[in-house]
Amino acid sequence: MNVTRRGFIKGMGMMAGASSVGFGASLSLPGIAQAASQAEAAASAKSALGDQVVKSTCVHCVNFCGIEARVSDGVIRAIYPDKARAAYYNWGICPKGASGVFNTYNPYRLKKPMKRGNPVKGMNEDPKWIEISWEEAFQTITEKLAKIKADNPAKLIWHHGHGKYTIGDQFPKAFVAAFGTPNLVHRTTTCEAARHVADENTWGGHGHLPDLEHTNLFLNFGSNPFEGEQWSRWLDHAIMDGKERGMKMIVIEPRLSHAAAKADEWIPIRPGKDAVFILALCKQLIDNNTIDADFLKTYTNATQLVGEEGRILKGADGKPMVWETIYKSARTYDDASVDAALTGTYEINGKPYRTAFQVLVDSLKDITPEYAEEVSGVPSARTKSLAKEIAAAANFGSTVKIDGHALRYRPVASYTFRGLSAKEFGVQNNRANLILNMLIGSPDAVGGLLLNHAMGHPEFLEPSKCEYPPKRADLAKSVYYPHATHECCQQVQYTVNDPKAYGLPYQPEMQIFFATNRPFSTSDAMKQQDGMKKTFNVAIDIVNTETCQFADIVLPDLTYLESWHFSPTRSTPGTKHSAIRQPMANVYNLPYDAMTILWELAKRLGLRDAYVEQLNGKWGLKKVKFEKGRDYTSREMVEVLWADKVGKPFEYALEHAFVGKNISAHDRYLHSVEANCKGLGKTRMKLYADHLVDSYANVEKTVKANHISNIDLAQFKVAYSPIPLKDHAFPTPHREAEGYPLYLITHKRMYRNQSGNTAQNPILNALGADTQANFIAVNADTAKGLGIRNGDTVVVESRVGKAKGKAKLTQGIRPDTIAVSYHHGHWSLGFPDNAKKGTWINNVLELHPDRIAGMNSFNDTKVKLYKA
Amino acid sequence: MAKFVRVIDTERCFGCRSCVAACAVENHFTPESPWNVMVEYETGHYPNTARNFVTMNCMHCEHPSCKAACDAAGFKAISKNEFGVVLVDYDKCVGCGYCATTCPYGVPQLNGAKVEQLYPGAEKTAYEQMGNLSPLHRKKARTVEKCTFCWHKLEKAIAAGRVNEIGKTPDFTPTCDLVCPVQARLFGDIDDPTSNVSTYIARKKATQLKKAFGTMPQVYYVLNGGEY
Amino acid sequence: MKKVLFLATAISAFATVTMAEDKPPKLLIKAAGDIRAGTINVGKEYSLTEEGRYHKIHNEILGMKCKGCHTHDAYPDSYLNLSKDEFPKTVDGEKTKAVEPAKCIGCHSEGNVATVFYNKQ
Repeated sequence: MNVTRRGFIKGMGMMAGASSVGFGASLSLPGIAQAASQAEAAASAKSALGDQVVKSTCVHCVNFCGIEARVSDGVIRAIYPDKARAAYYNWGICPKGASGVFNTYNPYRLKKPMKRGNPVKGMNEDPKWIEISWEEAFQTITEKLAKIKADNPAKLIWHHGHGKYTIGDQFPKAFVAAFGTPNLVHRTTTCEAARHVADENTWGGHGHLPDLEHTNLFLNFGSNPFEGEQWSRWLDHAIMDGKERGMKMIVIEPRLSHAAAKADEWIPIRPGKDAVFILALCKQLIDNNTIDADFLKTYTNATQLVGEEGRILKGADGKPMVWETIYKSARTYDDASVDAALTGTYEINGKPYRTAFQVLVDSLKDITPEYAEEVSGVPSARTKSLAKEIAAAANFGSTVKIDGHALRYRPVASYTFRGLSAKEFGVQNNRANLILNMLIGSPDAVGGLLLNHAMGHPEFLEPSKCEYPPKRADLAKSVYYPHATHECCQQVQYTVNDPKAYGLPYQPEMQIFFATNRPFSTSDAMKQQDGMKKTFNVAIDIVNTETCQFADIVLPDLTYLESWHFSPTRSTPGTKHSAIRQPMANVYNLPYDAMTILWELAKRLGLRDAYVEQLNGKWGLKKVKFEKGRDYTSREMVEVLWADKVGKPFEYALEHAFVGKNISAHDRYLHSVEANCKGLGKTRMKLYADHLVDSYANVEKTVKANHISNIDLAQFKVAYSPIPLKDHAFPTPHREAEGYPLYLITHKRMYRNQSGNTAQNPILNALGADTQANFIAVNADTAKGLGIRNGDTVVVESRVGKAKGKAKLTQGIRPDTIAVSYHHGHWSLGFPDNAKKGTWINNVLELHPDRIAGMNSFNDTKVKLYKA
Repeated sequence: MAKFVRVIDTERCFGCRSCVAACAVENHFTPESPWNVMVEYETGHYPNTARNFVTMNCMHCEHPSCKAACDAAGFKAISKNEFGVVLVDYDKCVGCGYCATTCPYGVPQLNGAKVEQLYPGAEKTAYEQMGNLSPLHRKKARTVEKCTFCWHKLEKAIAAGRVNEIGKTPDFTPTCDLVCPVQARLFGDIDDPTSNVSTYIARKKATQLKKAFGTMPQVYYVLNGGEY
Repeated sequence: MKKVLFLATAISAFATVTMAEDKPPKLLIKAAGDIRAGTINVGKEYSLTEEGRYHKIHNEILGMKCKGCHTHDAYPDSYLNLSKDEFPKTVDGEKTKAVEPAKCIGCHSEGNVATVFYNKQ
């Protein structure tokens, strides 16, 4: 098997004039792409079924599952999971991955570059596409880009969504850096950005996972790995294995998702009210004196002293101060001899100071279980009993020995993903959850919540500079979205439409959209169109999406089964890995993929060497780097990355597509919070996010100095509270949308993604009677009251839009809530009718981005529901 | 002699329908004639609501009622082989539909007057034009088709003398059982008391559906509640 | 429409029956024997259409009323049947009803009247 494959590789090296060792000169890109795709499949190992076996990595979503494709006579026949990855990540694959051949074999794919014949852009405007040559496409785009570069490179905006995962964001980042524009915008604010920003503003890094191998009580606030989410293919079997071990999973969310369906208990909470419920749990834990006081004192800033203005008292050396209980005086926080007070108010130089923990205690005063019931709908008795359950499961004070290390053992993890994030107060809802975890000492404990790399980026714990005027069209990190460290994708078109309104000192002229679908997938989505009408747009994609409909030029991309990538993977608490994706066909003989499109543009703009330099930096290449003065095929680029990052021969990558290793107990439990938050000079996790007080002060100062009229300071002040408040359970529509009695939430389903390339898949559309179109899920009793029967056509109406759909009556949703999945109802004229079925709900969603993170609000809207 | 059975653990299944998709791709899906379906339903009343997931495919019964009906009608298009697999011979099937009416599980799918292509009104994909297909994948109009336990895979294992690899290696395992993200499906030899399926059935108390019909299915379920 | 009529049929089409539905078992057994012997001609069309043998036997000869078998507009949500989603359905503009196969167990297990499909020993 190996011999066959290696023989082929040698042949390819000779044919292309580029061996895998020497990274020599290459032939023309189209020739290579075609030859590689055809020869690759032909040369791979044969299975007992007579198929060729090509191992690769799925990128239908962001789980990056290992796959093993079966190719028969040059046709990709089936896709199986790569069983070699089961020990590291995915045991199986999802239906999108299993039917992934139709992501590639799809007659509705983009097959040729096109330019629009109709200059008018609009939702119902036929672009009147004219097929053009790649040469004409590159020439037109290059001319535009060259003009912008000479004038002001910032006038170019690069967008990617799923494109980040099909080629990695390092390539686009290197390109925009070489070009000179600050405008590169990813989609995270439509996903879970608020969770990351909450992490960053709490422990100086982002990314966390429950330690499910040891967790005994798993609280899940609307994380839905069973219908589509990051880490799904690890979470799903880790949860199932945990449950068989005796772990209890409680899912807290308004809708009975598939995750809730598999839970031991579903707590149907009112949408948006999580913060109050979580804070009520915190209050119960504190009132019952069932908290991990040692953890709070050792790893968090709970003992640090907070002045009346909300800032932490600093000593002469600038270090935070705590109250020393024996000598009764303020001392620096990291003085090992100090026994710091966790609670209390102390007078220092005539001024009162409370410990940060005391500030939390005081702010929780009114958040009783009864109040939580009134706001969130969770019975007070359950809040009380759950707090007891959490405390009992937390095993305060206990340790466990793993691989010789005595480790804190707190087998309770409270986890979320979009559930607490896709909200106007997403950061604060997530902060509430992190505080709950801190109170029980769960961070980095065995069975608790494992943090990716605490204090890896301590700069996240600094106040925002609140830049003004903004440099970027998405206003990220500006006074508008001061801590938007994950860009702010939905904002761009508002700014492009009226840059002066936001103080942007230039008018953007060109936008490139790579595998992203903003006019379809953001809230209040129709407004995205205004900006897109004002610029010269290029779309790079595999199907003719809504974004393409607003493009001036469309470039077809290769699919994930046709192209190369040094693929990202999802590390788990126990494993780390590297992987590649490799082509196994080129169904429509496309000469370029996104990587080579970028290369070609850089080259034509005279930026090739600058691009190479940026690539080496963005990828962090150390041993093997891209060389100036030459071109690379996609495969050669992946060879460089593999050689530097993995170091094994590329033949190994071609055969296995993957290397994985296990993480030691030390690296799993001791490298993050233990190493970076405890002891002398180490920054504590922020139970109390004092820097947000200063961020708000900077907002206020900037707004006043620049007479900014479109920032509501009162609301910013609420948003920037250093401690989550009950106000964070009252987003704008909850306060203002009178006459709209029902809450509207959105969610994913397993059978679609948002960007549109699954909408045409004939298998996904036939996985049951309910997959080709979505539905309006409404509680059966509520429906009865409204005279709505199962299957009736109904209208969902908010303050910003209306949508029609079929009612699905269910007992699996709160009576005051309706739920609609947000990936159906495509309207691109480039889609066949059968891909357009269902309800496009995004246009009904009010947009109230989180003022800290810029996160798009998907779950705050209130609506009316009535029969059509 | 080996007898192959499937175990579906509905306690682990979370309804992703990956098995449904994988079956369709592996077995050259005929639109509207699914071989594998996810039955998903709710029980209870808010807030005490449950959702259940039960995937269904051919039960490959010990006493297949479909075969009895077909034989009685004189067509003898349905066979049950020595490994327990029930198959339809498309050349003998006349499309009477008797098997469909007698199957307690609604398994046999009677094709209409035309086998539709996957993308109606568009060009046929290279996948749909593949040659060299197993006879079980050459679908016909007005003919019954159904799950074969991926016989095109099993027969290769048998021919190669690698029966012991059935249910273990991808080439010799039904594709639905291969793709499950949470190992809610197993396939193996129930005649071997040490096999994965034999021990799992015992450990998790797996049972068959609709036993009143006495067809003795070779698909076992670990049930998660609800109505069966 | 892909499916040929099966498991369901239009209720209104069955206006006539030739034998009483509450026939004593002896008569049923005799009728079944006559069909097998060819004494009663039920045609050669093996199909589930109204004209085919299937409905001729059950409906015309044995006198079973349509609604005796075709009872459901749709199967209950919890019904474990692979073809469940075909219902509710309309064939040739007429609403059709589904059959619960459990109704067949009695006759088709015993072997006196009908061919044995179920509970074979």
